[in-house]
Amino acid sequence: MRSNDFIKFGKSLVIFIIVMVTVDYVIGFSLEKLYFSLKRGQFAQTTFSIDSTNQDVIIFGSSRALHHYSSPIMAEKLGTNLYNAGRDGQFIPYYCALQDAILKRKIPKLIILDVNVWEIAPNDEKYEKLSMLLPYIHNHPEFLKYIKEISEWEHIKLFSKTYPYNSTVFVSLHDFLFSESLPKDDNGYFPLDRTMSLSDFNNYKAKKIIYDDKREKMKVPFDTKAIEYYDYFLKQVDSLGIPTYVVISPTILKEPSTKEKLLIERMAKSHKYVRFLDYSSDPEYNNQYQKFADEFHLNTQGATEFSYEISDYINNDKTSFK
Amino acid sequence: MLLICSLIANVGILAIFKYFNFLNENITLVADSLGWHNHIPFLTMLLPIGLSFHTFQAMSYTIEVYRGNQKAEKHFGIYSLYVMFYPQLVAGPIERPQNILHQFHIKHEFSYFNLVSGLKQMAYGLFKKLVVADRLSIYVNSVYNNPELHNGSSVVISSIFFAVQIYCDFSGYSDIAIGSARTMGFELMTNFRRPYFSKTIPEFWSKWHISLSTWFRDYLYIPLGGNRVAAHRRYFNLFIVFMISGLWHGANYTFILWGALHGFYQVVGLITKPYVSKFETNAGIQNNIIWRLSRGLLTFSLVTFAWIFFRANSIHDAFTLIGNLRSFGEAPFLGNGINQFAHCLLALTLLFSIEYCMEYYPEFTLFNNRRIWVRWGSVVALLFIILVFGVFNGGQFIYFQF
Repeated sequence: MRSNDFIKFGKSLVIFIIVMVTVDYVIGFSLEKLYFSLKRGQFAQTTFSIDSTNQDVIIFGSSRALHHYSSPIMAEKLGTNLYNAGRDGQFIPYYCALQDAILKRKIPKLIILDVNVWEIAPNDEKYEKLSMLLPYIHNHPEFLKYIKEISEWEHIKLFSKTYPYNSTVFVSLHDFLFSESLPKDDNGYFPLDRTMSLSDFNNYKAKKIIYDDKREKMKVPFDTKAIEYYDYFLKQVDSLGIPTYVVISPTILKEPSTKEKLLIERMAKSHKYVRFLDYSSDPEYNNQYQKFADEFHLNTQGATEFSYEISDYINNDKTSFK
Repeated sequence: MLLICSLIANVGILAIFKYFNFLNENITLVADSLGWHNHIPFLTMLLPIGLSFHTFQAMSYTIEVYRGNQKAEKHFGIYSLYVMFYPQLVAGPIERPQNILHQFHIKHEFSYFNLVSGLKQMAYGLFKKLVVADRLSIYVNSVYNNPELHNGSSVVISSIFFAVQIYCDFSGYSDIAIGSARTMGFELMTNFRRPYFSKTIPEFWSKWHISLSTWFRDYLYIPLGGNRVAAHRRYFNLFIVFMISGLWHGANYTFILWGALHGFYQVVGLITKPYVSKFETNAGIQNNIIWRLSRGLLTFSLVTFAWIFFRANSIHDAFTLIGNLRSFGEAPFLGNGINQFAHCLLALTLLFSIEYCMEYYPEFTLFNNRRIWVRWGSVVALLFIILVFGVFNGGQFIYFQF
């Protein structure tokens, strides 16, 4: 009985492994084809940012970069070509990975890095967002160090051909099926056409006071890993002599001078080719809810104004790098 | 005397590790309000993993031996294995000696059936944990960790999500524990029997965390008098048992309030039971599907409301969330996170379909189907659902903290 059971289990295990490897290959291959066939949407944009950007000016950042820097306005004002590589929900390690991929093929003439204070505050979940890099690992082995930030077992999971496309199916299918109805980006830039209502603004204002107070009392520490990546990004641009602006773009409410903000500023200012610009206390934007789509993002009107403003500043400041 | 010493030792260990700082914190608060200074230092010890579970398991052995229901175990190694059996060490099921101890004396032969059946149960547990619980937790955490930023819509959605999350998280762990024990030939007790299909709160508790609720019934509620005391005493006993059950979960007022709320539900349920039964009989609706569905929904709503206290980081946060129920509107992050919500809906649909079949059509089974291609196909499909839709962020099981 016992030996019969062993043999039966051995046979079943071999068949099971063959079935699993085959199904994994078939599903993984199908999902890969679907993912890299996308023409519009966030996945298509990420693929373009990683594999094809060769513009002279590159904007790095989160959704705040994506919606705040109008590529056509800035390209015209700066007299050059420009790509907005901002990505929803991302933070510093993603920008570093993107920077590594871009620098392999091209050295930009100017970089704008949009950061916000939350990026160097600890948050257990933010490193999981680096899973966005998983589909690219085979062509970009340099991403492995970022992927290992998700978990120490990540490289083991990558033995599966399906795993890199985990949690991408719905977006891929949506972007594939409804490609034509998706808004088209303008060299990466995505405008937000809606405007925040006064009542939403007042609600947010009331909640933000409580939230800031709570954070202050909690004495949240720094995310030292994120700071190391920020340092890596700055050292990389500095060593290559790429003029870089680290920008805290406009916020709907004045951001207090937190230790995070001061550190971002201090680190940026310690590099020769890096300048720091802080618009988070700019009265042109603070409390101007008509210029915002929601509590975190400028709308088209706000982004247009801001793009003109920062372009003018850069044009006037260009000589300071020489 | 020996029984009392043993119980004091077990409860004492639990009290020092788990409740000392909580008590000290409260003493400090009272002392501060009276202008005194509390000099008792706080302990900075790590809580041993699964302490509440194996302490209760050890206590159940002592009590059962004392009651004469179980022969004393002479082999220290086997007794240690009973307390520390690794599949259920960190989060139960809290076993009884009558069920598990004798299994450690039997030689377990390799069994294809046990191995495959155990692995299938583990796979289903992984599905519950990775596809459902960890997916729902993303939205739940975003709301419960920032309660002041959310309105009534997100509180309702996140609370329903949490009700399912905690079920899948905990019963998923139980499935993995029971399955891994079965691969070695050991049978552990059932810990969950689809509790959200319950029509009443007592029925819910007969299906939720069965090993703990029966523990409290056998070793606390019945010794306090059980059902054989006067009604008011019975209500008091029920209330106390549920409050202690809340405290068992953690040294925080949120858990105590959660337990108290369930105690309150039980008492109200008992008081109203004759009237409800009379109404059902007079109206002839005992088996009416709408009536049964309404009772099920009411039970689910009451349980879900109580979970707000269980999940909230503090009492203040819990009341902030409940206060937010006054203002409804678009749930923040709902619009931006359609992908997340599609995953949540898929997870809920799959879970509901599977559990519904298990509850109402137990003869219909995929994983143990007579046809080999259905059996194999369903297991392979389950594993790929985990791979394609699961959340692999290494999220811990909620009950590991207890």
